[in-house]
Amino acid sequence: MTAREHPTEQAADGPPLLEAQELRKSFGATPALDGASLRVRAGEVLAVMGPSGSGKSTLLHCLAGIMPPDSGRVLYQGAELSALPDGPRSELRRTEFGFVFQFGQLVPELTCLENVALPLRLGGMKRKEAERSATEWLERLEVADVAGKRPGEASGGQGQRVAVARAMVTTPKVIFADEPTGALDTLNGERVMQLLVGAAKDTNAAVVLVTHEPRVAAYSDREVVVRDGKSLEVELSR
Amino acid sequence: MTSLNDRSRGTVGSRGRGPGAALARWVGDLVLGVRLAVGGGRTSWVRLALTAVGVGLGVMVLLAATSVPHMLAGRADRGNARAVHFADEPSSPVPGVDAALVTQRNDEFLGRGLQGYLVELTGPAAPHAPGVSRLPGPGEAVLSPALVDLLKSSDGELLRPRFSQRIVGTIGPEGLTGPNELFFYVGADGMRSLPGAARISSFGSGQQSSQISGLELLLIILGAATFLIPVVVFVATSTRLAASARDRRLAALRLVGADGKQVRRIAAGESFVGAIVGLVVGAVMFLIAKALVPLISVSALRGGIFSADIRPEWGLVGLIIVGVPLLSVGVAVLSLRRTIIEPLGVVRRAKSARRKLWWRLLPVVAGVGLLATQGSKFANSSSGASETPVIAGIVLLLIAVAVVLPWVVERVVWSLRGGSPAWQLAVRRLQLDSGTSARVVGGVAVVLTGAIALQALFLPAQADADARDSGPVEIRATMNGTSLAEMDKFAAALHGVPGFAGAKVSVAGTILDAEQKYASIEIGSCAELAAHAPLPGCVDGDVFYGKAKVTRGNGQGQDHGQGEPKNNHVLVPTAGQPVWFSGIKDVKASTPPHWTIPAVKGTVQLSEQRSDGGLLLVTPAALAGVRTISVFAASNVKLQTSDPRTVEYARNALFPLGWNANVMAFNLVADGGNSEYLLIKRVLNIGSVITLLLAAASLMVVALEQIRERRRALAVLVANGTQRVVLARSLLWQMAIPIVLAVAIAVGAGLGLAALLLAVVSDHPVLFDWPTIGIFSGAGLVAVLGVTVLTLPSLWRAASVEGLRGE
Amino acid sequence: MGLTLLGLLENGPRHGYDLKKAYDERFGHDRPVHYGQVYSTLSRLLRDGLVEVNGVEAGGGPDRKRYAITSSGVTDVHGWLTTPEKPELYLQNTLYTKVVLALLSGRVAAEVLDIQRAAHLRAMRELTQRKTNGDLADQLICDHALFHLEADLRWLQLTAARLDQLAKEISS
Repeated sequence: MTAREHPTEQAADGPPLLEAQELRKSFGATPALDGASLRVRAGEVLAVMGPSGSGKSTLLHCLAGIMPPDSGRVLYQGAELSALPDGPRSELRRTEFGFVFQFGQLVPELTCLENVALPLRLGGMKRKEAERSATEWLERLEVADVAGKRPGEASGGQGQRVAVARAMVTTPKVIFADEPTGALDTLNGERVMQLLVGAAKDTNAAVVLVTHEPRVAAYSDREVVVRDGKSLEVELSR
Repeated sequence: MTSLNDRSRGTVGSRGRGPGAALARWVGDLVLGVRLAVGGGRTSWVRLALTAVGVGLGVMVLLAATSVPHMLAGRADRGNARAVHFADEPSSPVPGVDAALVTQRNDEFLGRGLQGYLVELTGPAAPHAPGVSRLPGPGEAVLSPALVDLLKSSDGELLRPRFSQRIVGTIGPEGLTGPNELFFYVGADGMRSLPGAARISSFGSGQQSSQISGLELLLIILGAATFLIPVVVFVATSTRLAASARDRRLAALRLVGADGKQVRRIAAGESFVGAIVGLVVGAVMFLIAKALVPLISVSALRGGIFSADIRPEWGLVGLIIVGVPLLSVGVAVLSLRRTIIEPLGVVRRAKSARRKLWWRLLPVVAGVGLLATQGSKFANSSSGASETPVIAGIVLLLIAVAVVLPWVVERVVWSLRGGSPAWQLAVRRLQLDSGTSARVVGGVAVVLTGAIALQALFLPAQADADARDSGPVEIRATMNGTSLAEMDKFAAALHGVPGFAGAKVSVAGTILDAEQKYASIEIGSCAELAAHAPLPGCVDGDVFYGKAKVTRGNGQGQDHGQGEPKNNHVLVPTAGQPVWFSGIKDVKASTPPHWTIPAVKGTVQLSEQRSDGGLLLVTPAALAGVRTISVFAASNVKLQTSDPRTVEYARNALFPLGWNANVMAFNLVADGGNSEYLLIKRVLNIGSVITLLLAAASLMVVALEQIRERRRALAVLVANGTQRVVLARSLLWQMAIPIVLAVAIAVGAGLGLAALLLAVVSDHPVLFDWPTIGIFSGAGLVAVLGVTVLTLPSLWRAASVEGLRGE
Repeated sequence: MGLTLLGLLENGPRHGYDLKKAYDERFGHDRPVHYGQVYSTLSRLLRDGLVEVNGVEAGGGPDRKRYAITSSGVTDVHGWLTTPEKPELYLQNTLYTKVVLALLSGRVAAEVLDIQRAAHLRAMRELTQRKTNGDLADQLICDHALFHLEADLRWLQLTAARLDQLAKEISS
């Protein structure tokens, strides 16, 4: 049994769907990313692990085009994401990406159904049609019963499932999940992870899963550790 | 660690034992609240500063409002002190004072009113004019400082020809209504022959302060109520600033052992600090505004406002000092009623109950009832006894607007459905909590209601004052003179001005006989006079008498010049009759007659009606040899020009003829009319704008607070690829929906209130000034837009990546 | 034990007695190891060519042989350190030993932890996979194992975060 370390290399085959190359990002004098790289293939669940403050959320924000890196490149389907202007980048996020965060991501004044339908409606879909797809996703995530309620009236686990439904409703190519179970108990967390990963596998979507919880990371196919802003990938061979 | 424990125990835990501890605990809690307000580092300072500025703005407006009576009184007093009583009878001479001949001249320059007196002194001991150390002699002038400045400036170039006199002094503040008033005393001679000149021994009308009429008082009350309600709303909103952050802080206090009552007292302490600092800030802002007022009110209120005139009413100041902290503490405590602060967080009590309408209608019913039953008494008496019910009625109706609005907003918002995502976000947001914005918008609605009602009340007064039409500029040039040669000069000068070449100049006068019976005469060439009636065989030197068309008083039809005029005071000229020209001082039967009427060549029928029965048509040669004459030339010209300087050219062209020539422009006048209506209207309009700004500021506070609360959701929306424009539009809708409802209700309520007041309190017809209503409503909408634009940066900040980071 | 002694020798040749003392100090905790066990292990290592006798000192002690690690011994230690322990219960002791030795020998101790973490995660992944596809009994059994593995993993993460501190204490 030997082990090797491959900070940047990807052993598995297939072209990467999303790739980060030597990302650097500082907030003031504090470096958050210091040369982080990774690759995600379609249908793959990648866990990004690391202690608090290691820069994993920043890495996710850069990967998703929410925040431009100071240097380095983010390539989505071979095109450089950071080179896109804000408009197309927003559109890309709306159509190709989905997001699940730890909490507080649903618009409190909209019903759960409207929250899920929102990304479709922002894309110009008719309300009826959007709400029909939204209902399907809510059913799939076993939260059809909260469709007419506001997020505040649903439980935390239900809320996260609604959030997953919202992330999935546009059938994105990449789902970014930042501590999606962080505010949930074990059982609810497990269920959300099963549904999230299951839905992603079904639609062949890649998942970038930021977590510090090993049990959540265990849902991934592969993990990258971020430490002091650097990415680290260990490959075990048997 | 230990010190921290000690401290928290010292402040929250260990009191409450021993006698008199309750009070100590109260004070302790309040002090803790104070310390939380000032001791929480940068954010709490920012919060305190915002609250203080908000409360301060409100306090400043309140202080300004209490200053209005003093200001109006001060202006009126100074205006009266320099007033001249132009009575027919010369005022009784004062011993030791050499009377002066005075006549008033109103002029204007580029739309700004220009007023003053022509004075002719009759001796060294001239009467004292307020603010003037020495009245000017011939060729001299005493001007107001603003007029001096205007003459020096490049803008004043066209005005300079009119003030070529030697300036021997400036008018002090006690002789001016405002610091920027354009006022003058110009020395003259030969005024004995001027019509309308008064011989006075002292300036001042003797009236201390002009009586404010019932309608005017009503306007002031309405305006004041309009100001006060939004200010109160704004102060209340300001003390609620950052309430969510405060609630979280209070929850933390609950965690270390504070009970519910303590938390409320601590909250009270916090808002108390805000209110106190706000009072100080407001006082400072008021003093700054007071100092700046002369600079910013250049042309407002005819000459601006003196700093010294802005004196708050001290009794009301006391009320503000006590009331504002009470209000803010009350609001803080009341607002906690709906919030249960638990040790581990804040629970907002679910408001499932819909708003109820019935009690909201109580003020409407009470207000209408009061006005309908008590209004007529108010109209018929000028005493203060009947004011209270009317004031109460108006205030009740204004309150009703603020009270009914939340109900209407809620109902309308709940009935809204569908729409674009931006619309949906806004509507849902409002459905969740329409109360806050409805209350704030209630302030705007009250302002608009009040302002619209005011406009409707002003309109009859304005309609009386001048019937303006939107046609061409109408210019009326006039000249008083003592010779026909002067009249010719006037006509020649006027015809030399571009645009006036063909202007018809009519020369008229009035003659009196020994019994003070009078007749009008008009002097002109045969061709000119023929405009009145055909004059057969007319040559220069002829005199004709034109009989007017007479209307019978009983309405039975017209009698074409049959019979003599009924008026006993009217002189029917006969040949050889000795007459005197009117308008010349000291006309007495004892002085030799000025003119003897020559033979009347014919009596002709005039095409117009005249109250004096007829008109003596005189050709110039008939007046040859007359030494003393008083005539009046007038020319009415309609000009198709929008250049205000045209009028100034005409004025300057006529200037060499002296102050007896006058040019007035209609439809150009920006500052016409000297009525108190105008003054009150200006004050109220300025107040409306200020309160509208306050309401807009409140809206912004609410919006900022909402954005802060929803920071994370907004950031996630943007992360999800939501276009920023969608968020911006949703913010706009969220503010626009309540505002549009508020404007609609305000227009309705304002018109209703005005109609009610006009119908019940005064007997003026109901007229509505739609353009002004449009302007006020538009201003409300512009305020929404402005607030939205100002709030956007904060929205972007909240929606940026920082919002995704944890709390 | 043998690999541990080898690891300790990597820092430089030592007498058997010093070796026992060093072992006790670092890893013995409350139970000191017997001399006999140390000597028998050393002789096994000597036989396998992983250590050599570096010198004998004359003098009073029972055995004054000084042992040094051979190059094949170094290879063995390296191989051991960079091979993850099979994820199982209560293996912190071995892991701790590995981390300390890695620090003592100037290797990158974080690497030891990273490799172990990867192995743990792989095991957890397999359990998670089984759990997802299995019935309730499977789920409960897998969860039991998963929670224990998670505890280990958490310890690994914690230790990784405290490596600097540990290195300081060891070198002092």
